[in-house]
Amino acid sequence: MKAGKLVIRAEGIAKSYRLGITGAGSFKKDLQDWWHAFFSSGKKGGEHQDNDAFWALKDITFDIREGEVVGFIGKNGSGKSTLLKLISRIYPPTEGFIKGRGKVVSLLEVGTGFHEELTGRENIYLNGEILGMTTSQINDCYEDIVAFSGVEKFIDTPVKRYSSGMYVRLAFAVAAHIDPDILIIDEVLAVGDAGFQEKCLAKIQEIASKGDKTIIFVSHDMNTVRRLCNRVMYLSEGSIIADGPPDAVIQKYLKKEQIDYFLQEYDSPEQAPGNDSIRIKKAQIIPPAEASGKDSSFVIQASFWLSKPATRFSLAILVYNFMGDCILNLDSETAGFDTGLIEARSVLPAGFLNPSSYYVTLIFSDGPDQLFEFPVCLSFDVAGQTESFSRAKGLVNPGFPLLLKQASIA
Amino acid sequence: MEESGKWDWKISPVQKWYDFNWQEFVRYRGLIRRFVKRDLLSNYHQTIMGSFWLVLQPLLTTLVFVLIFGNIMKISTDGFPSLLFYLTGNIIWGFFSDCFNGSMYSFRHNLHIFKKIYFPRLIIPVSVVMTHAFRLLIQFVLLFAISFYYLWAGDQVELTWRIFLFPVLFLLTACFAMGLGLLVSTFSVKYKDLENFMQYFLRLYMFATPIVYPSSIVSEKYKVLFWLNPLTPLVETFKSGFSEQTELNYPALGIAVLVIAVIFTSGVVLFKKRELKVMDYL
Repeated sequence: MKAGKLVIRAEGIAKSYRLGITGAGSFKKDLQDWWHAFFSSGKKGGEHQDNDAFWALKDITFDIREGEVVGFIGKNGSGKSTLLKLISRIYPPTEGFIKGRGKVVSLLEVGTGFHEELTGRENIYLNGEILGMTTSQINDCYEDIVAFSGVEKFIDTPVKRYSSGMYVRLAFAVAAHIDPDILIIDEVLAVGDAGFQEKCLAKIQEIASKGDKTIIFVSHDMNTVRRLCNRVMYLSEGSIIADGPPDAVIQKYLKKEQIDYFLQEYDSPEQAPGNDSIRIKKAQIIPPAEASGKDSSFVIQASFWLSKPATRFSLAILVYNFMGDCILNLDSETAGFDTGLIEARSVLPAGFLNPSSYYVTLIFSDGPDQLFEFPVCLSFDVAGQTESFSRAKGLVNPGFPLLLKQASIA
Repeated sequence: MEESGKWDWKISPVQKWYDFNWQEFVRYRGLIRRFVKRDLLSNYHQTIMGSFWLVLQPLLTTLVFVLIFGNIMKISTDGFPSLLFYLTGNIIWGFFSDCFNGSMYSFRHNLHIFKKIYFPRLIIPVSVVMTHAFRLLIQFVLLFAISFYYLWAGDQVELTWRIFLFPVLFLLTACFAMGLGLLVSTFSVKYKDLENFMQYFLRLYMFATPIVYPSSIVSEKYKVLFWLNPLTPLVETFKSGFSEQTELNYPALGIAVLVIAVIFTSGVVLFKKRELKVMDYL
C-alpha cells in the first residue's frame, strides 16, 4: 500500500434510522425526548429508541491515504451508499466522526441541480458551482467541457429539449472537469451508452493515475472495481468484512454472496417464492463463481411447480447487465402444461457475453398474461481475460463468422 | 506512523451552531448569484411578456385590492390615493410572504439537490431572499413612477426624508421573513402539519397587518397588540415615506427591531444546527 498522507479518517461511525411512520406517535416520542433533555439532564432519553431503530452502519473505522482509489462493494442494502452519503455530508452519522483534509466533491448523481428551462451553457455554470467550482474556474475549462460533452450545437438550447444521452454527456462533462482532492463516485457510470461509459472510465483512470487524488468509488461491477481500484472494502450488513487489495477482497465477496446468487432452492411450495400459479423450486446457474472464465459456457436451470394448468405456457429468461440494460431475452416455446413440476434449461455458449456482471430474471406467462416474475434471482460474473483497461465493445460477442479474403492482388 | 496534524474538516453526529463557517459561505457566493439568476430566468422563460411580469404581478393584485377594498368595501386609506396605498402595502407584503414561503420550503423544494450534494444549506434561503429583493427593486421603479405621477398631479402625496429608511425597512422585513421561515422549516420537515398550518397563519397575518386598511381604524382596545406585530411599524413607516402627516411610532419600531433580531438569529442558528440532521426525515 502506498504511504501517502492521511486524507480521510473515519472513527467508529454508525448510522441508524428510526423505523415506522412519522406522525402522531413519533411526535409523542419527540416530546418525551425533549422533556428528558430539558428536565432530567442526568438521564439520556434515547434508551427506548433502540428497539425501533435500524442500524444501516455499525462501528465503521478506516483510514484512507492520498492517492488511494478505494472501491466499496457489497450487496444492495449493505450500507455502502449510506457510507458514501455520510462522507459526502448529505446527512450526519449517528455516532462517530469523519475527519479529512482537502476539497471533497461527490458525484452521487450526474447533473445535480440541472434546470430544465435553462440552456446548456447556463446549466454548465449552475452545475459547476453546485459542485463547488468558482465562476472563473468554470470559465477556464468551459471550452473543454463543451468539447468533451459533444453537444456544441445545442449549447444555447434549454436542456429539456436534449435527448437523455446528450443530457448525461453534458452533465458528466462538467463533473469530469472539477478538480477536487477527494472524489466520491456512486455508480455514476451506470448511465449513458457503452461508448460514453468507456470515456468516463478512462477519465476516472486518468484522474486516478495522477497519484495525488483520492477516489472513493461504489460499484456493482466487479470488473470495473478490479481495474480501477487499488484497495477494496467489502461491506455486509453495515460492517466492513474485508479490506485490502482488490483481487483478494472481490474473491471473498463473490464466495460469500454467491449462495444467494448462483443457486436458489426451496424444498416445499409453501416456503418458495411465487404466487397461486407458480412456485419456484430451484433456480441455478452452472458453473458458479471461480470457474466462470470467458471460455466457459453457462447453464441456466430452473424448476418450478405449476399449480393451475396452463394452455399456452411460456418462460422467458432475461439477462441484464449491472447497468440494468437487458442483454438477452430467451423465450421458451409456448406449450400446454398440467399442474406439477416443470423443468427448464438453457445454455449460453462460451465467449458469448463480454466480461462484466450479469443478473437473471425469470418471467412466467400463460398466453399474454404474466403469471409470475422472479426478478434478479441469479447473478454471475464473466471474468475478463485481458488486464487492459479498454472494454470489449458491444454488449455481447456472439462470434458470428466474419470472413476475409483477398479479392485481387495489386 | 500516526499523523494527527490538523484536519480541514470534520463530520460529527451533532452540529454546533457556533461551527458556522463564514469562509465556506463566502466561497460559495457565486452559487448564490447563480441560484438567483436561475430563479429569475426560469420564471420568465417561455412567457411572452417576459420580465414585464415582475411589474405586472403586484400591479394586478393592487388593482384587485383597489376594486374590492377601496371601491366596493370603501375602506379608508387615510387620505392616500388608493392606488398608491394598496401598492405600497402589496409590495411590502408580497416581499414578506415570498421570502417567508421561500425560506420555509428550503428543504422540501431542494430535496433532490440536498440528497446528492453538500453545500452550506443556508445558501438556499439567502438566494431566495436575494431573488425577491431583486424583484422588489424593479417594483420600486413602478412605485416611484406612480408616486411621481401623483406628485405632479398635485394629489396629497409628498416624498419625505423617510424614503431613505426604505433600505433598512426592507432589510428588516427580509430578516424577519427569513428568520421566521427558517424556524418553521426545521420543524416542518418532520411534521408537515406546520406547513399547512402556516398557510392559514399567513392569510390571517395579512389581515392583522395594516396592508388593506390604515392603522387609524384600529380600535383603542387592540392598539397595543396591533403595534406589537413587528410588521406593523415597518409597513406604516414605509407608507409614511409618501406622506408628512403620519407620525412614526418609534417605540413600536424599536420593539420590532428587537423581536426581528431575536427571530432572525434563532432561525439561522437552528437552521445551521439542523441542516444535515433534517435529511433523516425527508
